[in-house]
Amino acid sequence: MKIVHYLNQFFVGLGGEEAAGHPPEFREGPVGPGIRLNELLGEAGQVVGTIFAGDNYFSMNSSTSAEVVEGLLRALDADLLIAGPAFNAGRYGMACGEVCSVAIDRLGLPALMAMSENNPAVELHRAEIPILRTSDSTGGMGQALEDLAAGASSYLGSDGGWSAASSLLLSRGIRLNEVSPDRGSKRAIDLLLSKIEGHPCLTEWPLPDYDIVQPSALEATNTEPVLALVTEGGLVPSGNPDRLNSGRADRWFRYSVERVASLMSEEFEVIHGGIDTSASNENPNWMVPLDMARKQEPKGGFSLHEYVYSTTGNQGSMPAMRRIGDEIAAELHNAGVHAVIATST
Amino acid sequence: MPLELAYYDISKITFGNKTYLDGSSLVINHDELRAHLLEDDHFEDVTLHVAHPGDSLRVINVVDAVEPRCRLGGGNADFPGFLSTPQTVGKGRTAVLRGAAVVEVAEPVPGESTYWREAFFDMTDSCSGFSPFSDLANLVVDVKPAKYLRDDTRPPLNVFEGTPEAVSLNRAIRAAGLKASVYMASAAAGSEPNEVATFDLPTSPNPDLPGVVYLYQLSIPYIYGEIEPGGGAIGGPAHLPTMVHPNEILDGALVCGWNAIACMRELTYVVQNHPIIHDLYARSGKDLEFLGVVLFTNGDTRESKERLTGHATTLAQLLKPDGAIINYAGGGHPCVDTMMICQKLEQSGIPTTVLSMEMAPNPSDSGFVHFVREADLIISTGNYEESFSFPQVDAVIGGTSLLNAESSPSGPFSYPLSGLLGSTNQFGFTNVTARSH
Repeated sequence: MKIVHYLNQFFVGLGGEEAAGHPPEFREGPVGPGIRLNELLGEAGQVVGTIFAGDNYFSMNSSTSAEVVEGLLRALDADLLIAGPAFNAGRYGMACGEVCSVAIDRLGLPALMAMSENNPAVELHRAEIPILRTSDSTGGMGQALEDLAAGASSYLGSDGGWSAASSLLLSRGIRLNEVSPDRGSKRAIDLLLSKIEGHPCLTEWPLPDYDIVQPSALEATNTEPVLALVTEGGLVPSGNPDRLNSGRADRWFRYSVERVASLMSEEFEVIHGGIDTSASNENPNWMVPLDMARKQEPKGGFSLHEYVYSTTGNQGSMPAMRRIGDEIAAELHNAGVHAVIATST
Repeated sequence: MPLELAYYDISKITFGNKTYLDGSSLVINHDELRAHLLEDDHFEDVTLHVAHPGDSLRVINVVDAVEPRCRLGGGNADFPGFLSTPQTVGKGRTAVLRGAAVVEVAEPVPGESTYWREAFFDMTDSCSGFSPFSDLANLVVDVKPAKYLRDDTRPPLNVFEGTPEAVSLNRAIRAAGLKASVYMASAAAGSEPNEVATFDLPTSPNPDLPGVVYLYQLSIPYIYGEIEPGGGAIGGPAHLPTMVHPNEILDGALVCGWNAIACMRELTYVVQNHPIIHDLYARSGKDLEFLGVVLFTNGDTRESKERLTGHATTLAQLLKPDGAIINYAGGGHPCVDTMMICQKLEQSGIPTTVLSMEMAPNPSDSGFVHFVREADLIISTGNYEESFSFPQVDAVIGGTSLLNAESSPSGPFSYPLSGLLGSTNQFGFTNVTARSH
């Protein structure tokens, strides 16, 4: 069985950020972690070639990159594509997702990718692409390659399904219909009677696992408390120079408001894709109340932090939002901020 | 006095020169029934079709479906409020043509709200188990509205309400289904039923068995001919919850009043055969005691939700239940009210299970409109966002096009399960459920 492997610039040994602009390229046989993967696969399959690209190049030129990858895959006539492991590397994970989508959607070539559940590509692709679970960091490389070999072997030995590898894969995160032996009304009564009897029962539809965050009390400080303004409303400088996403955000930014009295519509805009932004674009202080905070500052017993922090909550994936929240909170903590006003859409 | 349902099992409907029951076949005098339905001047024409399991046939633009029934014995009314003056039903004997249904179809007129109206089902194997009507012998009543209704160019008032004329037409279409239902079931009078089932609440519930109350979230039906509850979920002030005898629900007091999403439309057929009420009755005195039904709708403000859900909880508590079953009618607001009642019941020590359909299109969307931690036991009646494949069929009844799909109604096409009539029914009428993958 012929396997094609996708890696980024780092894992083929080109280098880190300095090589991230490298366009897609092909090499015969296994490269980098692919060498070990090929050994582990043994009789089950052979890594016949490796496609690789720089993470930045792929994300900035995704349609060109996809076309190049498509051409390479067509020429190879492989049985399976393996991408990664990408661990928690966001751009690498996204490239793996793109490459696997090309294989599955355009060529009908089965594909398997490996990454951490916290990788932002997971939410985007988990419904369509089988994703093998890895650790967050490259420390888990050995295990990831063993699992990849086991998953790929079980797939290649089956008649076209991933079910034998399911314990290694992330859930697809989707809810599919089926026909139960009993109708819903009967199941509801059975479940109720079990609950009344105190027997352990299982819901058919688990509740979402949202964190419930209790705001903490303001700690006593020796100095005037520092207040920061944070939003998920997609506030950006006019023209969105950092290209904050209007939905499914994978990034956040901070913007200096030092000596700024009010957010002027000539200088700031709101790019959130899930709300009517006209009022906020007329007056961005509706999204982030800098003007009122400045007004209160002299007599309010606080001082405003130098930056406002912004991301977009629209269609946000839970792992990405958790990461962004953690990162902003860590920075606020390190900067000695005592309190936050977080405005939400 | 209990309710008796006398079941006559039907597997086939044919047209003939007179109407009678021939074993499990129902023969209908086509011209007589058509003339009977055409008495309504909302209609320019009425066409009758039969649709049986296995036919390569798709029925589209469905309004409602009714089980053929008529009351047996004097002094009884069929669908009171619609076909007679209001009077309480739920006692005495009613004939039921089990295995048959009347399905009313009509292309919408300009003044109708079509936002949720798309509704279809197939008679092929592909929908079997997903739409209750794919497995029944159906009489399809295809209504052509009068010219003045078809030519009216005024749009509906909003996504919920049609023009007054369109509302009146819709009521007439439903009444035509009810009239056909009574006409057909009358053929059974004098024959021997296949089964008679008796329904009555326990007079003195066995204290050793768990008492169960059912909280029924309505989706705006007609109750004894009147739209209930003053608009409620469609923006009016919601009624306070109330109790009715479950036999009234089984015996024609409620008629579908609104063209909600097809998978969760509160079809008259399903209400007549209300599965939760039927299943509670079937087990009452065996492994539970069925204590009663609380009807509720939903508020559309924080205040009205608090008032409504508190009152529904109190009514349920008055029955001293050991457990409660509650259904969610579908839509946005209704979910909040259902979850609030679940929470209040659980917090008052009454274990509760919730029946809910899911709206889970992708991994980023949990499919919940709202939830409370206390809703830890949910029965899924299916994920109506999942696409379903509809095969090519030889014939289509009910119109020449679908409302929300470009493809030809004869298929093949894929469409979310939401369009398939009765598929994710909120009372758990079908065996459809969803599972995580």
